[in-house]
Amino acid sequence: MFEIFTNTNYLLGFFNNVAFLILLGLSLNIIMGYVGYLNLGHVGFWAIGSYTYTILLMQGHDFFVCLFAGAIAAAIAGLILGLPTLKLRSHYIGIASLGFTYIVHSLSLNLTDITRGPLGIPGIPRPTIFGISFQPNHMYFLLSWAVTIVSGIIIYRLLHSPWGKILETIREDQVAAKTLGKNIFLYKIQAFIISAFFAGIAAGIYSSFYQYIGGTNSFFIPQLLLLLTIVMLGGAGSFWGSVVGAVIVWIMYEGVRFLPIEAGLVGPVQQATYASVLVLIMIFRPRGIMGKNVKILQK
Amino acid sequence: MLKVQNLHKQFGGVKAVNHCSFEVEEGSITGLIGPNGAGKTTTFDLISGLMKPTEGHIHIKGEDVTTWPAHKRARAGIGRTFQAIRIFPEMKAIDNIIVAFPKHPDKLRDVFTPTRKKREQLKVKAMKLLKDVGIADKAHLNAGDLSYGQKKLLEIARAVATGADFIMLDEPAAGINLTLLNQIRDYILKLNKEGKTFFIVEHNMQFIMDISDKVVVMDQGKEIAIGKPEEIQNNPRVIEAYLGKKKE
Repeated sequence: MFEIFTNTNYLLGFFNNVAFLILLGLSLNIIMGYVGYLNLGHVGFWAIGSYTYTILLMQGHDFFVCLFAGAIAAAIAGLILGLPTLKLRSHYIGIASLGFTYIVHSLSLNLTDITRGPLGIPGIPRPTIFGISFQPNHMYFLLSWAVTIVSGIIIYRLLHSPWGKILETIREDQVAAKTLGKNIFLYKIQAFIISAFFAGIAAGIYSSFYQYIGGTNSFFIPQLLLLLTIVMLGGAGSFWGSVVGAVIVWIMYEGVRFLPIEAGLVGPVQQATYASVLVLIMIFRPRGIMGKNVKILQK
Repeated sequence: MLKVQNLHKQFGGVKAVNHCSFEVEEGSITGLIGPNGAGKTTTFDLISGLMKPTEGHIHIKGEDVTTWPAHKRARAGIGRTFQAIRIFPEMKAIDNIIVAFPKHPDKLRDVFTPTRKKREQLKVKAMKLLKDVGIADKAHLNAGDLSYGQKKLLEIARAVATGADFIMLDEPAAGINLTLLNQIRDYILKLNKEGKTFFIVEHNMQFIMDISDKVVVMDQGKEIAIGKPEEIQNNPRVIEAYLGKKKE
């Protein structure tokens, strides 16, 4: 049973998953942990980024062009979702953004000309950059971590800048932030766009890793709960929290494979595991492992 | 400094502020008193732009700011504190101050430009402000972990950090002991001497009568008396509003 740990491909797969989950967690944390808004639309950004990246890549465009295009498409979706909703209070944004996730999910199933609907898109290639093929797992591992680390550094810099401090004042008390002369609507829109942008980047490395996207169960509630668990377990409002959260959640997720249960039960038990962790975290330690007390998420 | 004309705010059938007019002179300390529910805090919210009036006009330094959003008014020099303290509890005390400085390089485009030097300067300025209100030793604690009185001092210091020259304090004396009250009074007087105008809501009569140059009295959303503290104390309408009417 434990020989799997010496199976390089298994380990590379494990860390590839962790890479894009860290980036999805970090990008969601910008909104949930720093601005302090409940955003249930992040999976929608992920989906939009994935389809944009995949479709362009399969038309033979350059990897970085596709990765960037997917991120821009997600960022535009962030703007479209953010503009009408960010004047609302957090709870209402939660509901509106959940609707957004549903709309994107529904479109991905029904725009069959573009997305192939429930069949999904198989055979997504892994890129070749400057003549180097990133097709093998160990090469793709390097690429996905390079993208995650560069993105992570940018996010870190953003969140720990004076700009990031203003996001925190919105989380702490947006009425007070207004009376300090901060145009908080502008900050919220900027944060939303940036958060969606990096979800789009993560979506690119996700798509070429699995080499398949779509299907009836993708980009919906299970994925949403997975991301929420990463952010809340690690701790909303903590950069390293999302990194730790992604690692732990994926260890739990993969750990279920080693339980003595029927193969058909593995999927449902995996989902039940992280969903239960989310419930327990919210009851017993809403700060997560190293996060902040995000008022709006707890009232 | 501040001119409120015919200000009116209606919530459904309730007239929270009812065609109210008064002025606050530059360089003064003006008190705003009145029984609970008189509309004092609503007036503050209307002036700072957190609410839009149903009718009427607000002028700051000669400019009509009635349609301006709150952040624009704050940049024009209106600072305030809140009756229920509104600090940033999960941020350090010093960061509560630093974010308030108008020179805080918090634009998105500032993120990838070097601002270290500027930030160091702001840190020094923030420490000085914390020292002024006597909580410099708490600078690196989370603001939420300060005592009630320290939070109040922090909130006042934050309003000062915005560079506002017109500062509105909503019940600065509520719930604090005499020593701290005197400290707050001295701080207000010091800032006033430096040229800042104050507009203060307060229920502590001794405090407000002692500190104010002028007092505005509100009852049921309307100003019922304006004058020097000693005039106000003997005004029959004010006595009636506070103590009720004598039975004939």
